Amino acid sequence: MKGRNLIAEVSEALKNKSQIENLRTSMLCMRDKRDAAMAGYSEKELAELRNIRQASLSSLNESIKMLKDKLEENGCGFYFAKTAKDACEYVVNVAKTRGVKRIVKAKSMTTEEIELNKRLVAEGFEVIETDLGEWLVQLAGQKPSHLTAPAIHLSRYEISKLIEDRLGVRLPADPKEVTKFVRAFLREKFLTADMGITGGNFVVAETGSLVLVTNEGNGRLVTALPRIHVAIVGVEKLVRTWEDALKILNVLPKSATGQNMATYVTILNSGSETPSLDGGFVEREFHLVLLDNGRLSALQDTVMSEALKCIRCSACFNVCPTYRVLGGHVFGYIYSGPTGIPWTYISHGLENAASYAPLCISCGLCRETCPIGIDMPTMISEIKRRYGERNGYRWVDRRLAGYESLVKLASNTAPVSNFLLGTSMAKWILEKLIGIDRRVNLPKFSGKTLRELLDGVLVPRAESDRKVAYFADSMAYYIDVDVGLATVNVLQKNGFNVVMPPQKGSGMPSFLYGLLDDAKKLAEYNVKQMYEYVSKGYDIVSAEPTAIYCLRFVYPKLLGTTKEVQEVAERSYELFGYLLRMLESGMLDLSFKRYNGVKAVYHLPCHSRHLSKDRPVLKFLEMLGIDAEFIDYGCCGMGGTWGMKKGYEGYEISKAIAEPLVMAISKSGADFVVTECSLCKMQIERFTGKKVVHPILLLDKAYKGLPIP
Amino acid sequence: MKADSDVLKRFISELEKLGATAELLETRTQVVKHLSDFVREKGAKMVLAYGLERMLSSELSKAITSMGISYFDINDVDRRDLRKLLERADIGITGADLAVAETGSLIITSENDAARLLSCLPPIHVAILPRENILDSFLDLAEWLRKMQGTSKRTVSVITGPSRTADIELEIVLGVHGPCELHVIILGGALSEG
Ligand code: SF4
Ligand code: SF4
Repeated sequence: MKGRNLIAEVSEALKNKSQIENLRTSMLCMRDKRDAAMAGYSEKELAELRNIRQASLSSLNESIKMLKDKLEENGCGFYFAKTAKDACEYVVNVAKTRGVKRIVKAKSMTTEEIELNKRLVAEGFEVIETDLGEWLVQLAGQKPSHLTAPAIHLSRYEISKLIEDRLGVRLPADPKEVTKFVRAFLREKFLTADMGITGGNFVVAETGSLVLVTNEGNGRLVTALPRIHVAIVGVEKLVRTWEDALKILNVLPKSATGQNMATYVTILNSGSETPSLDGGFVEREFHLVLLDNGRLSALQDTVMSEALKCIRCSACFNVCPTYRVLGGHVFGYIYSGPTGIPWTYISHGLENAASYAPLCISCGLCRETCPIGIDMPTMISEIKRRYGERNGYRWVDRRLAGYESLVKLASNTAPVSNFLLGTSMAKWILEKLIGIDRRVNLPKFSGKTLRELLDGVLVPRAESDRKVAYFADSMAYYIDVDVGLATVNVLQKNGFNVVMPPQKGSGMPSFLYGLLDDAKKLAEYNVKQMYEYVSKGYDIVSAEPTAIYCLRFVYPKLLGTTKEVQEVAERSYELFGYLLRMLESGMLDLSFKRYNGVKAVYHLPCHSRHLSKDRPVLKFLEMLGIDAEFIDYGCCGMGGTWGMKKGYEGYEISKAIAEPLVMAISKSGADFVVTECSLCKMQIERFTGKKVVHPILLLDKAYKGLPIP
Repeated sequence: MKADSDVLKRFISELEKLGATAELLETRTQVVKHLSDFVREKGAKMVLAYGLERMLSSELSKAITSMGISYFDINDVDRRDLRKLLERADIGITGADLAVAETGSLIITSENDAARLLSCLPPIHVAILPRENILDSFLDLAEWLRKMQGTSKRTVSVITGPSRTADIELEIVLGVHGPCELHVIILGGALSEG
């Protein structure tokens, strides 16, 4: 991984406790504001946004032509830059031939992408970033760490120290004072700049209009004061019509910062007259550089083209568990955050993208929060695959992906294996040989598999037309067999005919580590087996949200949307979502015990978020009379088996991610924790020491009238 | 077409959420009185205006200069002085073409950048908007923008509240590079009245 030692970077970042704390608070705050602002969007409206992005990309060639004609008609410079180098060259040439000295810039990730500043400075121009965050980052000699809040990794104290160190000005550590200072400091630069450089949020082909969104007003000054304005815009930002543009513009600030609308939107289609320094007006030149730099070839790449739909709102950053503790310098190359991984691939190549892709734990929260529904996890896994195919996969990843054979072995040899795996010798060996952190307490294997235990239980009931094919997934199959038994029992209690088709693990670990060929084989097998039953009218139900997430979202990506895959996906239900539907249609047996006065904490697994917005488990806990506190910090940090990897490859990051959740649970005074994911359970148990239970165990006990822990 | 009172209410409430103020006034006399009081309270030394109705501008000029405060209309100043005036003005008063209630946004077009800079450079921006020009939703702008950008080179500025940042620890601070204050005067009646 080209010149990068990710483990060293991670260990360094994890030492920076104040940065972790700042990032965590900021990201949670941004997430919550954003969710509130987006609440008004219906599924239909979101689907429309996705269609607009898709249609804009499909019509790029026409749009480019239309834009070129419009701009030339308006007397503007238009340049299509094939590469980063071409784009820089063009800008340098414009600046040189017009005797430019001072250049002011409004925040633009596209100019970061092509490293324009470096080039301009090397040519002797003075280049000044004017967005407050971007200016701070420039002053610090760093790269932006977040799409919309570039200096979010710096605290107010670090900022006032930075200004003192670099400019010799002492300011109190107060955002208001810093802002006041920067206003005056940069005002003079604006007034004397010869050239302004901006990016663009969209370009509307039908009228040749550049649309530029800012909050501070620097975008306005950069485009109104200097005698030359150059905008550098990625070709994917072209939209056809104003209807399309406004729909995207409407969602952008809501999803970015939770603002209903950004403060300033500047729309221009040419240069205009500006009052010049020496009196009178001068006609400003306007140049638009449309940048390809890998985008058009990505458009032909069936997996990566998805990233081109990104509107750069940054919502995915705010929810990404690893980004939230490591920040954008580690979780990034030049582009950072979830969307940054495929974007690095597109503009800076496979090696650079793969240099931090291992930090993605496939929680899928980025995709869930993205207003365009962009499937980052699939692109990131594909990047891991492409890199793995070329350079070999990591040993530990291979082992963890192929965990099922190990689990099978351990299960066959329990209780001996349980004893052995508990010894420190075995833990040492596992760490050295496989790469599992020695601090991980491996789960206790059941001596019998779920299938063996269900022998004689799964008797067909001819009279019932309620039919469920139960998909257990590995944990319930080999380890948490009680979850499997309770699931079957509750379904049978409600009159279901339950069967358990032949099945393998969901394949999520293989997907996570980019071993997509293995994941595909598992997917093929499971789909084939499940389809047998779907075609006979069965619904597929699992108590493991990740399993249903795979059946619904991952398998169609791996296998394509054939009839079988699609029908299996459509008929797959997470257990509590399924029970909730029954409840709502009045079909659920309500003769269960209530546990009034019992206090619990509920943790929502990432993959459950995708499956239902209704929080079905919470509804059931309420029905059971349990006083459940919903603690919502997002991902617990386990990432399947990822959090078991040794040291700074997994365990340490996983622990840092879990910290606020662990603290809140420890403080809560709840009797136990409820969550429906077996790996969240492991994570929470190992770091809080509290008992964690699957909700189906509670419901099962309630039906039986038994006490709960 | 007169915007109904729900739209007006919504617009005002959105503006206020953003930290801007709104004043609904009926007559030119009221506007002149309101603005000259405002200018005095703010301790402004120089006021620059653009895009106001002729009579309003000349009455404002009289009222404001009578208090010893400079008032210029961009249309009337020597072009050579324009840049300096823009840099020094304490308050910029502009017209506004349209507004959107849903987002509390003003839409201002400008034929040159002196007009545009008037809502960027001074620390206080006052916009005057005819009440009937308030649209309900943001998406209603599409047709208008297509015409405006398709047939002219006027720059369109959509302004939603005062300049702001949250770049340091997400703390919101107003007045970064643009105005620290935004005041909107909504004209209820025809200006010719009283
Ligand atoms: S899937 Fe999760 S870990 Fe991976 S990039 Fe998205 S949010 Fe981050
Ligand atoms: S991937 Fe989606 S959420 Fe992330 S920045 Fe792009 S549009 Fe926003």
